[in-house]
Amino acid sequence: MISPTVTSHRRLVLGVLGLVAVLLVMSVLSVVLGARSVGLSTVVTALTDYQPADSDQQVVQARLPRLFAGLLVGAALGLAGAVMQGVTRNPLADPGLLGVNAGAAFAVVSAIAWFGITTAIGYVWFAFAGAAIVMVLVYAVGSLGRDGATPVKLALAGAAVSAMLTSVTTAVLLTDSATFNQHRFWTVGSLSGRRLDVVAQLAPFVAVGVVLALGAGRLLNTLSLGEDIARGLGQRVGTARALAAAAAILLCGAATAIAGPIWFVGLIVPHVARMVTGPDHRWILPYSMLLAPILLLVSDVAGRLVTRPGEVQVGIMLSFVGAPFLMVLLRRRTREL
Amino acid sequence: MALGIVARARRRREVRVGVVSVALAAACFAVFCVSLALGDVDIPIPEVVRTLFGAGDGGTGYIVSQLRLPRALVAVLAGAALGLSGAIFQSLVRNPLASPDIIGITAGASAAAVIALLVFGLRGFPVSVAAFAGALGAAAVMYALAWRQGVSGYRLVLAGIAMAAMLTSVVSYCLTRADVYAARDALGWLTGSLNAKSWATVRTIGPGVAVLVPLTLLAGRWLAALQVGDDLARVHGVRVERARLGLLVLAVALAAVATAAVGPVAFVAFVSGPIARRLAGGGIALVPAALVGALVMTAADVVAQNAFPSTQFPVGVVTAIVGGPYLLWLLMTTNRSG
Amino acid sequence: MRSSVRWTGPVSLVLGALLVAGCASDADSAGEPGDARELDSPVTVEHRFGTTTIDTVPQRVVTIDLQWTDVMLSMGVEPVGYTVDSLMPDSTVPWQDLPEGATALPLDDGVPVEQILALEPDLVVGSYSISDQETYDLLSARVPTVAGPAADAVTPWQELVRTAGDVLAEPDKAERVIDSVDGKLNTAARELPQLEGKTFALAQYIVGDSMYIVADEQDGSSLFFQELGMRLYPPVLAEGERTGDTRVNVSTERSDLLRADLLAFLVNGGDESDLSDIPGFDQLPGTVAVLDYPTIVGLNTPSPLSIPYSLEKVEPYLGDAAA
Repeated sequence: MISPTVTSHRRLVLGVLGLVAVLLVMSVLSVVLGARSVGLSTVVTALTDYQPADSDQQVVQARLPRLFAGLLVGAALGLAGAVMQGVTRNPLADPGLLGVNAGAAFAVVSAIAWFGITTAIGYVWFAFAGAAIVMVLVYAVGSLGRDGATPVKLALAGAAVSAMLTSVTTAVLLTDSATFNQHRFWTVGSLSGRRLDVVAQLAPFVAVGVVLALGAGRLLNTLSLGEDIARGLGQRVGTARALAAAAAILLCGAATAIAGPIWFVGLIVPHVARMVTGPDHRWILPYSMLLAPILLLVSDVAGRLVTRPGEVQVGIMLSFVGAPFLMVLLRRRTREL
Repeated sequence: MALGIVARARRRREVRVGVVSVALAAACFAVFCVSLALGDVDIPIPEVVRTLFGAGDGGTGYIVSQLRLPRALVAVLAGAALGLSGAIFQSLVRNPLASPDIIGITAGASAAAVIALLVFGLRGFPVSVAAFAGALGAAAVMYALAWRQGVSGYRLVLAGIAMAAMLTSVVSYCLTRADVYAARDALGWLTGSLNAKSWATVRTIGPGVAVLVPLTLLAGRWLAALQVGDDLARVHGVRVERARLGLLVLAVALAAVATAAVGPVAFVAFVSGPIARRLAGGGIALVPAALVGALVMTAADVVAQNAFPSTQFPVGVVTAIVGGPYLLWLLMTTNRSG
Repeated sequence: MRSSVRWTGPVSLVLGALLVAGCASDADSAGEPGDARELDSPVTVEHRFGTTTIDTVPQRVVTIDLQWTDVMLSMGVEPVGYTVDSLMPDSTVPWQDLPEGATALPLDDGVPVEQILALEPDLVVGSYSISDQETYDLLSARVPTVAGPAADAVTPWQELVRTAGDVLAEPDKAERVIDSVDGKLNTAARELPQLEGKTFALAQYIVGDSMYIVADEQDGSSLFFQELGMRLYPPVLAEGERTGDTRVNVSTERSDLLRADLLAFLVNGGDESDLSDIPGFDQLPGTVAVLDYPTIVGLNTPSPLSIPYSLEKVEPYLGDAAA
C-alpha cells in the first residue's frame, strides 16, 4: 500500500521533531512579544515568581491563556481540515465549507438576540452546539440519495445550508443593531482575552477529537483509493466516514467555540503537510496538527505587533499570512491539485 | 439512422429548453406585476396599468412609476446577469462550487465597496464604481494566479477561495474599526439591496446588461464546444484558451455590473445554473439560467418587502431562504452527483 | 448551442422594449400644495445634496435619525414618523417621549422611501441616514427634504435646533431650548470647579478583543466633557493624531493609555466584572464610570433631550473625579 521507505520514514520523523521545536519557539515568542513591550527578565519573573502588583507581569500572565487557546484551536482546526479533505477526497474541503461557521454564527446571534445572553462565556456553548448541529445536518442532507455523501453533494449541501443560515443571521443583525455591535467583533476570530476556564472546559472535546482523528489515518488512506476499492478491501466505508465526521465535528465545534470562526487554517495546512509527507494520512495528520498551531501563533503574534498599540485579530492576520502562502503554493505545484 | 436519432434528440431538447424558458419568463412577468402592486400602499393591478400609461393620480403614480417600476426592473436585470454569470462559471470550471459569490469575485466587489464606504466615507454612485473595479480586479488576480499553461478547474476555485478569504477578512476588519452606525450601513450594502433604486440605477445597469447578455448568449456556442474536452474542441477549430478567456471575461463582467448596482446578493448566481439545468433536462441551458436568476431575485424582493408587516428586509437576506431549500431538495432527489 | 443563439434576438428585443417603456414613463409628477401657514420669508437650508427651501410651516414632519427626532420633540412638534434606532433596548431611547399615533420607521433596508411617502409628510429631516443622492432625489421630488452636512462633518445640535426654530417660525423657542440645556451644563461646571483641567477618556471594551478609545476632540462626548472644563487625556489625543483615527484601537495590554482622571467605559459583550481582564486595571488612578449603552449614545450624539439624561447619569462620577 502506501508506506514510505525507511530513509524517508526517518526524514518524516525528523520533520515532526523539527516542527515541535518550531512550535516551542513560537510559544515562547507569543509570551514574550505583544502590544506592550516587556523585557525578558520581566517575563521570566512573571512565570517563576509572580508579583500581581506589577502590571507588566500581569500582562505576561494574561498572554498564557492566549497561548493555550492558540495551541488547542490550531491543532483542532489543522486536524479537522486534514480529516475532512481525506474523507471527502476534495482538496477544497475546509470545515467552513460544511457550514460550521455559519452554524456557530447563527447560534451565537440567536443567543444574543433571543436568549439575552450577552456575555462571551455565555454563548460559548451555543457556538459549539450550533457548529456541531449544522455539520451533522449538512452531512445528513449530503448523504441522502443513492450514492451517499459524495464530495460534491457535501460541498453543495454545505453551501446551501450556510447561505440559508447566514441569511437568517443577517436578517437578525440588520434589525437588532445591538446584536450586530457584538457579533461584528466575534465573527472575526480572536484569541485575545480567552478565559482559561472556558478553554479548559472545551479541551476534553478537542482531546477526544484528536484521538479519533489521529486514529483514522489508516482509514483515510484506504478511503483515498476510492470507495469501491475500499469496500473491496473490506473497509466499512459508511462507518469510516461517520467516525471521521465525528472527529471533525468535535474539533471544529470546540475550536469555533473558543476562538470564533477561524477560516482557512483547515484548508491550507493539509496541503502544505501533504507537500512534505506525501499522500500517507498517518503522516499528514500529525503534520497538520503541528503546522496549524504554528501558523496560528505566527498570525497572532504578528497581529499584536503590526498596529501597536492596537491589535489585529488572529482571524484577519491569518488570511493575510495564509492567502499569499496558498497563492505561492498554487504557482509552484506542478502536479494537478 | 443514427444521425436521425441524434437530430431528433437535439430537437426534443431544444423544444424542452424553449418551453421551460417561456414558462420561466411568464412566471417572472407575473411576479414582476405583483411587485408593482404590493407594498406599503397596495395598489390594485388595473390602477397600476393605468399609471404606467400616463393616467392615475400623483401620489400612487409616483410610487408605481418612480419607485416600484425601476426597482423591479433592476431586480430582473441584476438577477438575470447573476444567473447567467453563475451558469457560465459553473460550466467552464465544471464545478458547481465555482460561482462568483464563492470564488471571490463578489468578495472583491465587497472589499472595494466597504473600503469606499468606511474608509473614504463615500456613498451612492462612487461606491458602485468601486465595487465594479473591485470585482474586475479580483477576477484578474485570480486568473493570473490560476493560469499555468491554461486554467484548470480546481486551481481556479482554490485561488478564488483564497482571494475570497483575504477579501472577506478585509471587510470584517473594516467593520470592526468603524463606528456602529457606519458599520451597519456597510452591512446593508453587503447584504445586497434593491431599496431606493430609481431610474438612475436602471440607466447604469441597463446598458451594461443589454450589451453583455446577448454577447454572452452568442458565446454560449463556445461553452458547448468546450464541454467535450479541450482536445476534441481544438480538433473542431475552437481556440480553447481564447474561448475560455472570453467566456470568463463576460461572466465576470456580468457579475461585476450586477454587484455594482445592487451589492453582492448571495446565492442567485450559485443556484440558477443547477435549477435551470434540472428544469431543462441536462446540458447548459443559459437562457433558463438567466430567467431563473431574474425570477429568484424578483420573488425574493417581493417577499423581503411584504412578508413582514412592520419592516422590510434587503433582498439579499431572502434569496438564500428562497433558493436554498430548492437546492437542497434537488440534492436529495438527484441520483447522480452534481 | 444553437438554441441559445436563437434566443438572443427575442431576449434583446424584450430588454430593449422594457428600457424604452421605462424611459417613457420617467416623467415627474408635480407635488400637491398643502394648506399650511406660510412663512414670512422662505427658509433655505443647505446640506450635502444642495439646498432646500421651505415656504410653509410644516404640519406633518418625518424625522430620520435620533438627533432630529429629539430636536423636534424638544420644540414641541410630534413627528408623524420617526426612525427607530434598533441598537436601543426595545428600540426606544430612555429620554424620548414618543407620540402614540406616530409611525416607527425601521431602517433595516435603508431609508423606507415608500413608507415615508405613504405618510404624506410635508417635511422630511434627516442627518447621516439620507446618505446617497438617489435616496435624496426620490424623497425630495415629492417632499422638501433636509439632509445632513457632508460626510465627515457633524452639525452641532444647537444649529439643528435653530434650523428647526426657523422652519417652525419659532426662533425664540429655539433659543430657550438651547439656553436651558447649556444652562444645565454650566451649572454642573460651576458646582464642581475642581474639574477644571482634569483629564477624561471614553472607551469601549470589547470583551475578548480589544478597546476603542475616543480620540477626537470634536466628538459629541468630548465636547460634553470639555464644556465641564475637562480635557481629553493627552496620550490618547496624541495617539489619535498619530493614526488619524477618531477612535483608536488599543490592546488590553496597554492600560497605560487609561490613566485619565475620569475614565468612562462601555463594556460590549460582558459586564463590569470583565474589566478585570485588562492587566493593570485595578491600579488605574482615575475614577472609572461604567456606563450603559443609551448613556453613551446620549454623549456621542448630543441633543437637547439626551444631554440632560447623560449628565444625570454621569454626575456621581464627576464628583469623584473632581476630588
